[in-house]
Amino acid sequence: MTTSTPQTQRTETGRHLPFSSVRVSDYFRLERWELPASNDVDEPVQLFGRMPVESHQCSQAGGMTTGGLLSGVDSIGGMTAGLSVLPRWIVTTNMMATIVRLSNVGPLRLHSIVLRRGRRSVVVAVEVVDEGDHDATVALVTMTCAVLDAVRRDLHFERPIGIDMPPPDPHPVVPEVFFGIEPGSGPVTRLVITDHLRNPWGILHGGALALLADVAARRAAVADRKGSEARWARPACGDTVIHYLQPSRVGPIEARCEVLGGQGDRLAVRVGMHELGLGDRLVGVASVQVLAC
Amino acid sequence: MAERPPGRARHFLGDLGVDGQYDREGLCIARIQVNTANCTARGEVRAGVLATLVDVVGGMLAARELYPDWMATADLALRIIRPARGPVVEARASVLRRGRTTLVVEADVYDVDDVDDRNQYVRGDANACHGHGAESTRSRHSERRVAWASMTFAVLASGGAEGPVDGRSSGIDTSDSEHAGRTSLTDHVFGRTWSMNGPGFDVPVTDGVGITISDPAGGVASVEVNEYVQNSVGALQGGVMALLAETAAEQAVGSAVGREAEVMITDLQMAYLALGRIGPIESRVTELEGDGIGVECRCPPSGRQSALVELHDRGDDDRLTTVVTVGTSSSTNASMAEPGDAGLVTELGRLRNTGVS
Repeated sequence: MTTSTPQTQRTETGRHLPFSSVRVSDYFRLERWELPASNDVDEPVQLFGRMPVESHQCSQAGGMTTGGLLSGVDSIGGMTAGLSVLPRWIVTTNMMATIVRLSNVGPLRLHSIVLRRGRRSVVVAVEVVDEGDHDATVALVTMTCAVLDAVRRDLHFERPIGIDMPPPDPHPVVPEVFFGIEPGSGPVTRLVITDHLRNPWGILHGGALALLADVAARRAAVADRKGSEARWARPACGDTVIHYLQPSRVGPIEARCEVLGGQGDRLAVRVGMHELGLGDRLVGVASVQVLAC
Repeated sequence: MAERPPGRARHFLGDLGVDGQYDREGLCIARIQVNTANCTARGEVRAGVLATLVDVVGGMLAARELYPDWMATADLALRIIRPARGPVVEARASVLRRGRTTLVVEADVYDVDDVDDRNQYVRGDANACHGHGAESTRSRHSERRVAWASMTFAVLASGGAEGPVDGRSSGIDTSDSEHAGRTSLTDHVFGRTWSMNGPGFDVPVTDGVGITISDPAGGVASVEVNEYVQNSVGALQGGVMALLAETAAEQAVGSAVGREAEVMITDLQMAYLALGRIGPIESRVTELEGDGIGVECRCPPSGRQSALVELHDRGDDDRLTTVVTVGTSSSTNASMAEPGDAGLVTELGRLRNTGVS
């Protein structure tokens, strides 16, 4: 269901990356499969996913970065919500993520299920477990999606859904490069929108904003704690709440962080995400818990 | 759910003593006095009380923004940055986005030291307040920020009728001394100040709203639905849901670590799925074992635990009404009891059978 425009992107090292067919979910090598529906028409859609934990996508804590994890959650949860309201479709409006474990073995298995299906919104729960660690719970996410008014007659799915895990990238890049996040430090971080980050409707993938919030919050925390203990040099992100307020099509997206405060090993960071190319409008707000490692 | 105070009847919001006002910058402000009834044994304001406060301030703001439509709280996230101790706790809410079907609000919560501080803020000194709509002016005041919250409200169309928050009939005490010269109906209905006054609690707030604990280790607690704790549509008020979830998680995690008094609630993430109209509303807890213990990396810090709390309406065929994840922190390295991890997928499967409406 996702399309992208062929293009290349130059990395910080000057290498051209063939992002023509690499979508956000492919970057995290997300495998997806649907629990076959029974005859009960009221039975909610359930989707599963599996994503490996690869070193170039890990945080200092030793597991998938929270932004990456939430990108996979958005893909699985959004598809679950969308399938539950066909022939309409959805957009994600918010995610509330409790990150239980930051160190993972992998692969991670995601299980998404509809908690509530209303006329105008769908609430989905996504549980993430670590298959390499006896199915220990990694995260629990509740996400809400708004049901779009227009019927999408061009949406056709072969049910039950089954999408294989993409092969590993022989030349992997870190998430900051894939997601077009400019190098930098301090409380302001920018993301440049390129076509491979868009969904089929040309809107920036929710996972991209999640990743931006993750990177921006960590940079802000490092700047805030500069000169303190060494373990604040490379922190990781924990519990995260994201509100998607407006669709982003133009960019660049500028994440402006405010360290709200904290105690001991944790800081709370508010991330306001603004679309510079559209009058600086606020497109998303996140609250991110940043943890020292 | 944003609240209509319960007419002339005694209501727990009155006993909390919430009062507040709308300011000229578009904010809505609400505050409570801190006392032993709304605090933990450590003298920190309960997370459920803070959630109630932000739900009220967000609801009052939403009510004004959406009038004559009404709204229901769809989700609420509360992050406690540091313990709130008062003597006054003040929440300041602003609109992040108004859409056709939803309204998104965020709120900052502060410990306020004295009345003068608040008055200086309330007088409308734009440079002294932050206002999320104008981020450049954030955080110039001196109060101590203790929490941050966000809420989504679902818009309920009025069909031409006035929403139930109409101050002339709801029992909200409003002050309209500044109405002269204003023509807006919204301004008339929503006086610049409002209050919810009652005699106060003579017992801890959790006892006051009627929360009973039947299985501390299992996190099973319940509360009846009655006029004292109902919201404007006759369902259990969202803040009481938060208090119930907090109590359940506190008991379960406390039992597991063996030192209940040291368990601190750091986060509440609440998704309201259905109204709790009949009751009793009962909690069930699944503990989520963190990885901060016995690992080389110190992420997350020792003692960071989470719990999944489901709130069911026993009188409504055990319907799942609310899903809450509760973040806790404890000052002990004691290990959790056997976690419920293995059963969580099954748990979701059980939700599957009860959750779709």
